[in-house]
Amino acid sequence: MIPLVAHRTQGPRRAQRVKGLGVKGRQTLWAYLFLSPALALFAVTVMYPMVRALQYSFFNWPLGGDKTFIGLQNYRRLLFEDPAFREAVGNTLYFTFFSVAPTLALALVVAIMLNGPLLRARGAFRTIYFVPVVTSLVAVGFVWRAMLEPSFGVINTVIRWFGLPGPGWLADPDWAMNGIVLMAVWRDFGFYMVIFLAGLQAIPREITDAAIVDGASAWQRFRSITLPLLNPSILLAAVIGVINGLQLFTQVYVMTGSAQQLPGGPLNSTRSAVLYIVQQTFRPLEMGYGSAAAFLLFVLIMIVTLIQFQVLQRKFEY
Amino acid sequence: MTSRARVLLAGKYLLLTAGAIIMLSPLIWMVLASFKTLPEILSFPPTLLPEQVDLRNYRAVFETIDFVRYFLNSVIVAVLTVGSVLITSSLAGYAFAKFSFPGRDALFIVVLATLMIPFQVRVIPLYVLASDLQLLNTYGGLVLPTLVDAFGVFLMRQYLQSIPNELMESARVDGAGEIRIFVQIVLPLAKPALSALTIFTLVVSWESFLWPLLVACSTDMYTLPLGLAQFAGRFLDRTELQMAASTLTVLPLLIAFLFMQRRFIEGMATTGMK
Amino acid sequence: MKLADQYYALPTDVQSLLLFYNDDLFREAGLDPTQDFSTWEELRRAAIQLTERDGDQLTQAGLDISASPYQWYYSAPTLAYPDGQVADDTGEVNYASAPGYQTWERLTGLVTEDGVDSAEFLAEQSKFAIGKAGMTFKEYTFTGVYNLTAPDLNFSLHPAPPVADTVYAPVATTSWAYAVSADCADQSAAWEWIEFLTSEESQRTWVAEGGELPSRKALLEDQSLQEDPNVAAGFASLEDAVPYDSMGWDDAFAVQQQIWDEIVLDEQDVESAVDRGADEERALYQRKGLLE
Repeated sequence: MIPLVAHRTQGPRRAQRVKGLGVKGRQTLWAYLFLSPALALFAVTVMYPMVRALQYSFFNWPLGGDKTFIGLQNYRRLLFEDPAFREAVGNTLYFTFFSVAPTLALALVVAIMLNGPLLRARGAFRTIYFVPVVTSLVAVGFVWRAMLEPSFGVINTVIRWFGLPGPGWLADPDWAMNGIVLMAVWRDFGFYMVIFLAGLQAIPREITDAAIVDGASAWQRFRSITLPLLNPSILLAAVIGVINGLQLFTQVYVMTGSAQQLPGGPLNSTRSAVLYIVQQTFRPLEMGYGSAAAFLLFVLIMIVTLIQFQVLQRKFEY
Repeated sequence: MTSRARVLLAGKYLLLTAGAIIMLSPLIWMVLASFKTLPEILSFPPTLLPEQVDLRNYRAVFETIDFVRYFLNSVIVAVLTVGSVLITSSLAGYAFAKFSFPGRDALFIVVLATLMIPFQVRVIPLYVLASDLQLLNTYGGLVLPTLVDAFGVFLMRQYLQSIPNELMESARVDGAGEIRIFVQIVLPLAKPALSALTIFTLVVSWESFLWPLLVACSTDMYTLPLGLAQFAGRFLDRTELQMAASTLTVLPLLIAFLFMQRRFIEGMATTGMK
Repeated sequence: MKLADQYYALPTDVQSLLLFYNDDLFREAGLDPTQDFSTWEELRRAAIQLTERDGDQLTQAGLDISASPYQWYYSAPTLAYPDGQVADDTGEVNYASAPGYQTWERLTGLVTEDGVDSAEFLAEQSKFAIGKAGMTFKEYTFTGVYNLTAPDLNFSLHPAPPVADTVYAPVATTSWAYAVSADCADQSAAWEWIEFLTSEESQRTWVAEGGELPSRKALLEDQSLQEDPNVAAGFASLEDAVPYDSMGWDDAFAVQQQIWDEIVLDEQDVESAVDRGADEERALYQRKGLLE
């Protein structure tokens, strides 16, 4: 791939003589020079906003108005006095769990099926399953909204073929979030399947072959070889899935909400934490409360991710 | 192959094919519905194929909203974002991969840690910042939060680490300046990673909704997802028009995907694989 | 719009809330679409008659009450109190009491008891516009909307019967009003615009082509505008109309919508849902500084 050029260094090491600086200093200078665009942008678009958000969270800060320092009052209100926030977080956790867990399980199963050595058309299947991932989230949100319509939508029509009553989906406070979960499972499945497939194909054949020779059954092979070796992929997929799930916004905005209802309905059953943050900030145009809520959500994401690392990560030996 | 194995294999094909049909059916339904009239869509028992295939719904979309403009806005935002991410990520990734300097590892960890920061923490101050910088409702404002991506830095660093140091060293000995080395030696070798990063950033940028929703105040700055949401929201009871607009929105990326599927999937898998 | 005896804004178009009949569906069900209902019970029975099912699935709503902006249940309580559902001078919310409960019970009863409509029936569509509902409560402006979007729909406008047993006015109205901000850069241009919008010429256009009711009193006498019986019904409704008197718009509607959803979607008891809503609305007005 890359031709190795043997180069005889002759004569004085001209390139290293920059006035004043030694080798180390020169490296440092250039390193920081190369880093500067990225670091500058990080400072402006990531670090600065984070610090500011923390600052806002301690104030009541109407946009363009006078701010008042209120200490931890925003946090206290959110944690103890705001049932709507707790409900929003609950909705978000429900969505995250029920959209990530089944999707990962399904993706793993299908990836294993696709990984079978005798399967042709693997590429075609892989492409087809991946198509929903590259569709516009907003567009498919509206498509699913129409498909989930309780009286004439396709989904309930099919359900009724099996003799079951079709639930109210987005019109029913008990089923609305499930409709959003269903759409998320459909859409993200292909992404995880591809990750798992790549992980499976990285498992050295010799190991599975040796296990077959040793007489291990498919299930034993799965448990002792596949699952542990796939662990990094599973952990990665779970972490990505959860972080994305906890930031649920676009699907709710697009799939709920109408002329007479703000998004997040019906009866706030689909109001996600981020939607709540947006509503609390950009309707009254006050920066503090939403910032505090955003930080609490951040903390939640960190906690859940750490738990995942603890629970899902396993060391293994070849 | 034993007959049992044969049956299992056939069963697998059957399941996978059924799965494929299920996966594609919402999109197929969307396209079919986009050619139907509203009574057709609402009819019971449901119809499969449209009675007439004409473009009246599509024409309605183009006549109602400035679809082309929204598409262009999305393209401009995507190009600016991808450009900025590629430049900053490759420069920074190179620095982290091939230079040793005090604070390198700690700094890299800090950069990585920013990946854990969810967007909603930054969104409110970013909005205020954009407002203060007079960037609201401009392309600059639309791309502000996505100009740099810690993930891109990470990806480039991982990839560039595998480039042999001798290449750069010998170029230095020959008197080449650092920038020349970067542009003429490092970048060309980084093409696979750059390509994967491009695809990944493109998809994420195209999908972006919350930030443009907050920043774009007038419809001429709407990106495609916003334009679609606005259109569909206006015509909530006109499912057939919504489906036409959705089809138009899904099409560009879908076409790009079908042409470059291998690159696409491998790119997403590579970026996912760490 | 008057504050302390000074006029600050002029109304440009007026809406009243009326009952729309689908004349064809009425005749199909053996009902007379030229008759007004004089009692709530008559309306209720007609709505039940107009409801059609296929098995246990609705195929035609007797009365489309689940899906429209500016719901009837926002304004029906207004008519049941002498000073409306919110007292103008104190900002006190009135409707968490006997006549208010009754209006809510009757309106939600159409759905929860009589099954005349359902939130799950054609959840995304405008049922009346596509001919799937026998009646609907709508603002007058929907005459303009339906003329544009549903030209084949044969509909007629009628005053609705009182919802509560005692009402103090027959119908509620709303209107848009235009005011000029003190910060406006070009005040005279802004006032010229308002003058244009409220001019007789503009109002005539709005009535003839836009499905709006005029805010100029003189135009109400003009018979030439009322040749269409639907327009005449709209004009007639303004005679004894009272303004819908909530002290908010989207924020107050959200409270009313919540009451509705709690009763209809969550099967909560009417009185407690209305009480909760009234508390919410009081809290809202307190936050807005309109109520002590």
